[in-house]
Amino acid sequence: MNKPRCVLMIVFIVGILLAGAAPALAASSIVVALDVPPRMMNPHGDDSDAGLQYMANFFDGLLQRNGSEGELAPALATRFERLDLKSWKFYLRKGVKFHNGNPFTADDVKFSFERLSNPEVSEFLNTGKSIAGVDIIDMYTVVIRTKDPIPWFANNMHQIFIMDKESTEARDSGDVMVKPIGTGAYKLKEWVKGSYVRMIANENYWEGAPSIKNVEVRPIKEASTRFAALVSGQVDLISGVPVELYDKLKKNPKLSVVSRPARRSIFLALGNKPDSPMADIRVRKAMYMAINEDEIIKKIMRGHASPAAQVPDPPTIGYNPDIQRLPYDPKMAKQLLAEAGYPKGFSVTLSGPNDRYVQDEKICEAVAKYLAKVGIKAKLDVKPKSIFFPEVAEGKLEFYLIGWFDGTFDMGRTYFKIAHTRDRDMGFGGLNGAAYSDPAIDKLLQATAGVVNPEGRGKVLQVLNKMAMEDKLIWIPLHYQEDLYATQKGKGISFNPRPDRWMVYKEIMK
Amino acid sequence: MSERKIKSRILYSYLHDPSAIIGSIILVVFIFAAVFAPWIAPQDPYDLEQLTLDHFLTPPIWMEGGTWPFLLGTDDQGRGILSTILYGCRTSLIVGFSVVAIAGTFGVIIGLLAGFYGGWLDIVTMRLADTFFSFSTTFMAFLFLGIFGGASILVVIFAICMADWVRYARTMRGSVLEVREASYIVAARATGARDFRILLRHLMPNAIPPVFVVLAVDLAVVIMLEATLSFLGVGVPLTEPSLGMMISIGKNYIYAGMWWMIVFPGATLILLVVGINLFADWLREELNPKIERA
Repeated sequence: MNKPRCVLMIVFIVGILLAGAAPALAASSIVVALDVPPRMMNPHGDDSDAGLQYMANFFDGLLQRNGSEGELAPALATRFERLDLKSWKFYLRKGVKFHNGNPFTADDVKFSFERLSNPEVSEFLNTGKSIAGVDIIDMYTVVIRTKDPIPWFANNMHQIFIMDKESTEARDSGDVMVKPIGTGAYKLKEWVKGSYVRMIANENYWEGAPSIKNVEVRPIKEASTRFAALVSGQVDLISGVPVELYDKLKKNPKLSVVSRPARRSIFLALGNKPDSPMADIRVRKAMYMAINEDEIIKKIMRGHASPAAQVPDPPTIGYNPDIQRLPYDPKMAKQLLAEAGYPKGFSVTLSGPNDRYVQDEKICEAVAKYLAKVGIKAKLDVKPKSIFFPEVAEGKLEFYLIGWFDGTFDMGRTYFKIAHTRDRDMGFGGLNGAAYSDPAIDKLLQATAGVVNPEGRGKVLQVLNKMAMEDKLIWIPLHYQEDLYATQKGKGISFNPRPDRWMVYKEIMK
Repeated sequence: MSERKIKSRILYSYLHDPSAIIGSIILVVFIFAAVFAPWIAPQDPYDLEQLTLDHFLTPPIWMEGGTWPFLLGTDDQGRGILSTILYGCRTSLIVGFSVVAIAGTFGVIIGLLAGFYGGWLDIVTMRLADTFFSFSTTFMAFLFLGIFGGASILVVIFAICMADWVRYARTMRGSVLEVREASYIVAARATGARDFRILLRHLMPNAIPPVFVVLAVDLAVVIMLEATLSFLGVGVPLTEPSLGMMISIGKNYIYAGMWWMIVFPGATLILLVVGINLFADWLREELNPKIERA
């Protein structure tokens, strides 16, 4: 018997012996079905959460967000300090190695941040362009200077991933797109587009090797197919359990359901072009009051959502607990429409995605129904997200459903993207899809950028938020989603969902 | 054989073919249901002002929790399944008959001209037809919907027509080629008849019977195609009733045990297509002289 075979034999025998006593030891692998496949393995090329959740396993940021509350924690930087309004000093972790064995140093940080402003490889252009320069103090200390004061700069550091300078520069761009070389807890073993992503544990991970050694992620877009894969035992864990199947799942003794309130709020955005009916605040109010959100939650979301009165969620800086939802009152809505000069209503196109949020298409249908009852004829225009989101980015919609949560926990950043008047050169209002514009909001928003101490910032953003939701009604808020996951019971998987819905496998224990 | 005799022979064979009778009865019932849907249906499932979520996901009336007037239950937006099916058949038949009429007329004209004149007209149209034919009709319709953007029943009809005229053109051309050399055509030509007259009076009536067979079979194909496109989400808009869309909604609820949302529209679609096919089978045997009845 040659040596490898002998070793294999011993492993096999020991494995059998241990199998009875400690099933967890033999089975340190997991198969997961998610709703979205990765677009690429370039950590800066896709700024969607769907893509970042894959990257978070291969790469690390200077900071990370951990656990069920998503608090900011050290990662590749052990600590940081704000030197002045526009500069941030990060002290880097020593002894960290990339998957290819290269040591992690300040050069890699400088390289990664400079890469952000290259439109060919980056979707983080906003962050990239806001940076004035990265100064290397020594091998393990950097100072990042921003062009303007950015109060939430550090809050964003969990999603700016650090790449290896040497190997990224040496490889051609095609290779960088498919082979991630990071410092993360997992290395990419195999990626078959459209089928699966296989990851293998990085035994030299600076935080200690992860508990699960092999991870296979299968993107299964169709919710009922994903559910079937779980029920038939092909996968161990799924995210995005369809709400209509929740009750059924609960009854299945082999499965357990994990749910948590999501950070994401779902709301309707309305344009306010000067001559359109929706420029009149009374019309906006009427549309708000015509929608029976309680019924949407009860019947369309099957109880898996909670009503929202504003866009940010409670942990976000700027969340204002004083803002109340307008009551559901179709009579009042009709009256308001009549006062505004539309006693017979008007026509509007309601757009939305049909494959992005929980029950998105169904919510749009219900909204059209409610509006019809007060005389507003909403033409439905729901479509796949790949068509819908470019339209949002172009700002040519009239009235649409969208969801949002801010990864940086700072409402200011959100508002610059979705509430500020569209301004391509400044990078404002990039996702203000109905081209909403109000100089008062813009002015107040720009003033908040100068407020940096968290307390003062919270207060001024709360004022802005109240103005947006009560005086201007920029949006009609609907609800906060609830994230639903399901796992196989007997497999000893301990899983705590994150608030941002990322699947970070080093956090899962088995 | 006089015309009256032919008529009575067709009537005779029809009355002695049970599947033809069943097929035509099914078809007539569906047409009746589609035409009178607003009066028969207990609810107008596409009147947004009336529709509420109050009765969403109600099971059929004979099951626990079922309520009048939702005989076959409701879907997740509170639309009665029976009413939606009745309105859905309307869409199916409107699309079916419109496509058959438009694509049929267009295809017949192309086939007639190509077969009669031959030459470059024949080459161009038939190579074009061959190219179209080498792709599946579903794919072609999908392609046209992608180019012209869906979300309207007219666009759906147009897209299916674009993919579908080929069948008629090819059948008509083949038939024309056979008839073209017949002695009565030669005779007509010899008397100095104009092309137009020959085409319309002599060629068309004698070459067209095979097209009717294609037409009957095609009706079922088009109805299935519309359902397929709607199932895939590129067909009629969300606010229009369609059997395909009902099936697509229903599939999300199979695992939840709410079978009525998919079984009834599915069964309806099958029944409609089977009915048309039974009738088409009989028609083919009658009109196609090459098939000998056993």
